[in-house]
Amino acid sequence: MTNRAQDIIVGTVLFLVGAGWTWLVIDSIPPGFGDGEVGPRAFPMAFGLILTVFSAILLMTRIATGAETALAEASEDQDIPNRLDWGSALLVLGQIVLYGFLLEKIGFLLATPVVVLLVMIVSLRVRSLRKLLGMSLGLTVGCWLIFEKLLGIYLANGTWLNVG
Amino acid sequence: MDVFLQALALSFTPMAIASIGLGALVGLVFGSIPGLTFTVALALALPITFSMDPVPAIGLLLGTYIGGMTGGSVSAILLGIPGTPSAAATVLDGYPMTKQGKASIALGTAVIVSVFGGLFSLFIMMVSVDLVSRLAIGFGPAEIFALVLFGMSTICGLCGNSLLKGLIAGALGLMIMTVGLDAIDGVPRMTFGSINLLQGVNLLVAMIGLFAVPFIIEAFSGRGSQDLQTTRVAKVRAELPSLKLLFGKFSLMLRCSVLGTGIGAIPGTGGAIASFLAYDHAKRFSKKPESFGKGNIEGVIAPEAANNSVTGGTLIPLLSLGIPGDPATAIVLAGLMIHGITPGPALFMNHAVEVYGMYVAVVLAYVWVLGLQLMGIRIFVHVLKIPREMLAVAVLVLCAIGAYSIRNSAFDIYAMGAIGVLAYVLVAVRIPITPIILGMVLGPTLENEFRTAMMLSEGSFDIFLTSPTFLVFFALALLVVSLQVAAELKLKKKTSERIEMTDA
Amino acid sequence: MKLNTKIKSGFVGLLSSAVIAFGGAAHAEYPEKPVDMTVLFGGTANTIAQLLSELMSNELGQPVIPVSRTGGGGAVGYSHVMSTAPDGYNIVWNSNSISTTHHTGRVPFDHTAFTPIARISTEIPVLAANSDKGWANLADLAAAVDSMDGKLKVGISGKGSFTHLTSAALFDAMGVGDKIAYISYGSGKAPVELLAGRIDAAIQWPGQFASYVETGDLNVLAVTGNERVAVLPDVPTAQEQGVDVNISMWRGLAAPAGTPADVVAKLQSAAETAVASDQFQRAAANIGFSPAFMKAEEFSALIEKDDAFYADLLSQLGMAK
Repeated sequence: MTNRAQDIIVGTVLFLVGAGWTWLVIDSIPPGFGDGEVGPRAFPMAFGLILTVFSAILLMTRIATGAETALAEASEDQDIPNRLDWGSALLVLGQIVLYGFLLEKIGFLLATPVVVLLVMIVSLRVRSLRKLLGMSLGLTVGCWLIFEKLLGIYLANGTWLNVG
Repeated sequence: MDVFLQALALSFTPMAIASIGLGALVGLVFGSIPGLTFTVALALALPITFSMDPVPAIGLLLGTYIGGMTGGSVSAILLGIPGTPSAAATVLDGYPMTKQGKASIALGTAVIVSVFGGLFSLFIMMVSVDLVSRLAIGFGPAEIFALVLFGMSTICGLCGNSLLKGLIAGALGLMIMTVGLDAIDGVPRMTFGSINLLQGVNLLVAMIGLFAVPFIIEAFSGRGSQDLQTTRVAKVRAELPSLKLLFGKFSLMLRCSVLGTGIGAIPGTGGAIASFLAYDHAKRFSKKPESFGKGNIEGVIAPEAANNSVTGGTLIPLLSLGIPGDPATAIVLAGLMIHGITPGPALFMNHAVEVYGMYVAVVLAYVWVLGLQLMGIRIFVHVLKIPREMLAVAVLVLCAIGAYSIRNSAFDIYAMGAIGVLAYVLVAVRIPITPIILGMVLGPTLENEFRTAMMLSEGSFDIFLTSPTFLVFFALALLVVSLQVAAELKLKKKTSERIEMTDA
Repeated sequence: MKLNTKIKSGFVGLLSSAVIAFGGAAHAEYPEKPVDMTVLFGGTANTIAQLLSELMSNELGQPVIPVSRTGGGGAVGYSHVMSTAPDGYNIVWNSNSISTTHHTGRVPFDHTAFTPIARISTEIPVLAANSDKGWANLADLAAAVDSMDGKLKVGISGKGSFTHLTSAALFDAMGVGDKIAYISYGSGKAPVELLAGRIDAAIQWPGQFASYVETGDLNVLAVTGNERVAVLPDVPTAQEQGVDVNISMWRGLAAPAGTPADVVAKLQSAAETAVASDQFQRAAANIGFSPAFMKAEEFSALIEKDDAFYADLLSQLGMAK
């Protein structure tokens, strides 16, 4: 994908986000309470409009600059366009969400080894039992000793199941 | 003099020195671990001080605050994940230096300029606390709004060569922070009836997401890191910056320290705006502005000198007016109050000994920080030897602990993940993420101060137009933006000329 | 080798804690594990909570852990505690905010979702003005407001905040309610805004003003509770000045509704001892709040009474949902 095509897609998506946001803000936040007061709606609406307008400008300038500038562009942006690794990104998001969920339900001491094992097996494809056990138990116990015992940070206790 | 000697006697007890050192160590640990922040460290340290004598107690808190502020640069430089919002600007050049194998030089420079900035601001505070606090009182909502607007204009210096994309990123940051309960009218905004969304997105949680999650995703997707890995391991050395280098940058250090002290003294602004303004200043007045963002040591010196001189600056409104500048100093304030030291204009009459004791404690804290950190660099750099994927697993766990520890809410972990993936996507499509953090840090202040100002003036813009301070900052902001636009148009013209030439 | 030790210690830790968790759960006496105390706000609320929990830990023999769950004006923390099991291991450091969060529509449940344990402390707001104004009491202020053209600018922490409600009640009782413009600013900045003359008066906690009163920069005109405050003993209450207002902010402990009575009793007596301790009393004098222990039954009646009061006040202000 060229930078230009990518920018067009990004511009479109952000334009829609900005427009949708602005519409939701106008729809759901009361304008204010009079007395010349700037109400709670003004700023979110202004920010949404800024995004909408700037994405529209990005979109239009990129559509307007035809394919003939592709040559110049290559020298302008020295970086080769990054490929997006959607798979890894969504996997990490899923793991983080699962971790948050499990922390609340089964507490830090159980959630951490489960998630670390999962991350290492699924994302990193580690198969060595030594590494798997070492990382998951080491991280859990290490963090628990340092943070909960030594520094006194509250690490989540589970509501379904509670160890420690 | 008598008072000062008494204060020295109070602060040079083994107990006081040890508790300041403990504070500095704990602050450094929290500051330097990605995900954990020193606000949490201070909250944990507060109950310990309840049963201590005043000077060691305040020393412990100040040590934690100062250690945390300095430690924030460690993970910013080594991993590109700032430990505090104030260190977000340090990432811009500190992390590239690590990639070039110059991690220890960046770290060493950061510590030394931090200590310089901190001590400088303490000195300013000692000689001019009355004058500065009088000036700070003059900063009302309209003036703070203008200052924050000026801070926003530094987006120009952070957005690479597309102002448009920088502004888009800034707008995203501003939008995210409006979610939740509105501070002024108590109205829920964009919460869709959810109680979890009512608490809004926490700035620290968002910061962890923005910087740490892309790091994790990149490590897991395992591309392009191989070559980086080898150079990093080969060049891990605990080499410190030379004195010649530091003396050469003395004027920059001094300018940024003045800037940080000044901004710290204005209640309700904080360290992040100071470090971004300092970075922008360094870049603007540099002979080689194009080398910023690629590992220019000045890009580390400027924000670090500025954010640590904020520590002395914020003590001015804290002590002389009783006003904390941020959540961290609010905890220091609680520590003072519980020991019967009520900050405010009468403080210097009633508790002169304790106040001088605090000055000495700040100096001691910086001595500790300097020692601990310079020793620590030898240990810190070994982090780079850990395989990147394994490091990422640890970062994942630490960030979840960190995000959770702020408000003990799983929602914050979800928010961290969502913002992190957004950041990863934006980086991949070449939208810079630093303006997002800038928008997040400054957005709430920008909005609240503007709305308060309009309430004060009953809806009239005169409150802005009649304030010279407002006009100066507003003009500066306009100047910065128009310079950037002009530079970009020139660049475009050049490019199109070049195209014509290739066409011909 | 190092790895092996780590694994070993990890297993031992896990096993032993599992034994405690499952084996010991049979019929031990409360409390047999740490008690989680949700703290809804930062600042003074958090400081008192940290001190109280430390002192209560000594009494109960198990740690009471203050856990900060802030946000949404208390809504987040209340919702969390309400959803936990009523076994006494999850309590909340509550305040009048239970009424305001409910009546402004932020949470769907009200104070009856919690069993009161004990009231711990009260904080009484005071009204201050710049001494340049020359106002010595509420009558001076009322006279000045009557003769001025515009509105009196009064600083509050935010719309619907406790300082806003107190201000509204006070100025209504004085009969000048319609000539007041409320200015919201961050909670800590009242003294500076008064000093700079950007606002005319402000209601905040006495501790913030004490130092300024000493130097003569600010005047405190009235205390809004029915008793004078220890930090500013010379300032008369509003009632002493003939204005019928009595508002104070209480803080106390509560557990989810349905918590067994013996557990509540145990927590109540631990709280009582904690409040009576020297350390707590000393901290109260320094920070500027009043220790005000009250047993569960009386506390419950107080909450009931206050709830009706705030419901009324909020609907007058047009903020009730």
